[in-house]
Amino acid sequence: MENNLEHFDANLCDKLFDFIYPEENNLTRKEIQAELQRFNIDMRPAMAKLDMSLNAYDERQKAQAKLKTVREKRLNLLEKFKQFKMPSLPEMRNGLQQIIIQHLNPSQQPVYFRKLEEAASEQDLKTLLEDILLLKSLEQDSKDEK
Amino acid sequence: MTEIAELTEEQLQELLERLAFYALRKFQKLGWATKHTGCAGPYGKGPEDIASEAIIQVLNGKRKYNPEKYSTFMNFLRSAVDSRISHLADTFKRKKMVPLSVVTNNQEDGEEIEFEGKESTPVTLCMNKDIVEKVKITLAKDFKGDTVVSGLIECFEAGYTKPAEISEVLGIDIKEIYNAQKRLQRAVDKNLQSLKMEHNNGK
Repeated sequence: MENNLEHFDANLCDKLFDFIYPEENNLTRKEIQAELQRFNIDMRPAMAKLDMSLNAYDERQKAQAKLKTVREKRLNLLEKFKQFKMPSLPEMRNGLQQIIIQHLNPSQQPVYFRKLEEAASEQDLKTLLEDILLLKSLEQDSKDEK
Repeated sequence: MTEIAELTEEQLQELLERLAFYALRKFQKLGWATKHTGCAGPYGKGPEDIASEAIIQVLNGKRKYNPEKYSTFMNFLRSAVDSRISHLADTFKRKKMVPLSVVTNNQEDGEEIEFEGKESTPVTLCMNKDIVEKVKITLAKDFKGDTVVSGLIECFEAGYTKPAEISEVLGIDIKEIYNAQKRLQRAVDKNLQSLKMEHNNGK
C-alpha cells in the first residue's frame, strides 16, 4: 500500500471521496432526504429563505411589467399627440377651455384655467394639453386598477 | 430567472435538497462534515445555506445561466454552489491570516471565482492539505496489505473511477469493490471527525 500512496495528492483524494460517497445525481430524492437527515440538516429555514426571495422576485416582476405598461401608454399618447393637426392659437385656447370644463373635475379646473391664462405661446398650450391628457390617462389607470 | 420561478413548491424543494446534498459532499471533502459530528462550515454555514444562497444569487440576477457554458441548468447551479463554497473556504482562510480590522468588513464583499462547470471540481483547489494527509495516513494504517484497496488507488491514478470498470480492470468480483467502498467510507468518516473538531475549535 505504501508504494501507491507516493502520488496520493488532492486530486486522488478527490477521486477517492467521489468513490466512497455516492453522488447526488445517482440517488433518488428519498435517499437524498435520508442522507440529509443523517447529518441533522434541517431544510426548513433554507426553504423559508428561498420562498421569501421568490416572493420578492415575483413582486419585482410585477412592478417591472406595470412600469413597462405605463411607459408604453405614455409613448402611445405622445405619438397620437404628435400626429394631431394643431389649430390656431385662439382655437386652441377655446378647445382647451372646453376640455377643462368637460373633462376635469371642479377642484382641478381653477389650476388649469390659471395655467391656460398664463400660456403665452403655442408650445405652452401644447404642454398644457399634454399635461391634461396625461392626467386623464393616469386617472383612467387608477380606475382600471380598482 | 424564469427556470426557478416557474418551478412548483415541490420541485423547488427537491432542487434545494439536491443542491444541499451536493454541497454536503463538498463539505465532507473539506472536512466540514462527518456522520459522527454533523456538519457546519465556517461562520456556522451549512450545506443547506450554501444551496439556498446559490439559488437566490440566480434569482437576483447575480449569476446568469449561459447554456453554451453549462450543458444543463442543474450543472450551472452546481457550479454556483462550488463558487459559494470556494469563496467561503477562501474567506475563512484569509480571516485566519489577516488583521482583525480587515476581516470585520462584510465577508460577502470578496470576489467569487467563476468555474467552468461541475467537471472542473473546484473544491479540489481548496481541499485541505490536512484532509489529504489524514486520508493518506488512514489508507496506510487501516488498509496495510489490503490488495483490493491498493488496486483501487492504482485504478484512480489510471483514471478508472466506476466500480464496474474497476472490477473489470482488477479482475475481481464487483461485490468486493462495494465492500471495499464501505470499509473505506467507515474508516475515512471515523478518521476525519477529529479534523472537524479541530476546525470547529479554530473558528
